[in-house]
Amino acid sequence: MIFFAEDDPSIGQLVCFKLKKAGFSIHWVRDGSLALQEFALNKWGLVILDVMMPGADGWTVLKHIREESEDKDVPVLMLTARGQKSDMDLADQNRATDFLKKPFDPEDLVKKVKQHLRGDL
Amino acid sequence: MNWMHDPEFLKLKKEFVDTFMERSQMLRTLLAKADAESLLEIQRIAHSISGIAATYGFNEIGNKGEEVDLFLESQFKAGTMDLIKANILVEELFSQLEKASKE
Repeated sequence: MIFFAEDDPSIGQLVCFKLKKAGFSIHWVRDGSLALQEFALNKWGLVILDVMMPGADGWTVLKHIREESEDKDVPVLMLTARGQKSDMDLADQNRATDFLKKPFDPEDLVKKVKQHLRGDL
Repeated sequence: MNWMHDPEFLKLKKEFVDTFMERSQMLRTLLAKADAESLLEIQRIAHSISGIAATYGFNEIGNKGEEVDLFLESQFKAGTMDLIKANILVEELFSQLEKASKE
């Protein structure tokens, strides 16, 4: 199952629609605080995090996953606003598995999910 | 069937378009104030639009949203604000939003 954190309903609904159509199960939380709380509820095959969220931004959630969670090696795909160098540096520093720049083609998202999803989850 | 013709996607697209008038009216109100806080909020709205519009097929709106976002960001960084240019760009953005919402 995929864990997905995104506060914008227009993006959240579209991502859920595309990934469900592609056959994936998805758990969507709508802000960073909820992401911090609910990540520990399950073992996820992949995490998708928006960068700009209220409560806690995507980098904070990623840092928590990599440094404090019980599943530090889960693949994490970041949804960044632009391909800014600062975002790419942060993705490297915080060991994001991959990132996708908004606005993205939903087909590219499905490709990245297939590429990184852990097979057993 | 191409997913962009899927009834479920078309419903989501309509819901997205339904937000255009509200976003446009918010931009108009904020632009009338044009204080630092309002300009930051305009940038936030433009940033949000630039991140999603093209994904739903509204490339022009997405590009204009990005133009507004980047322009305001550059002005904030430089510690200045060209209000005439900001007005022109934001008016172009809300004109595009209003036009799309009526189509």
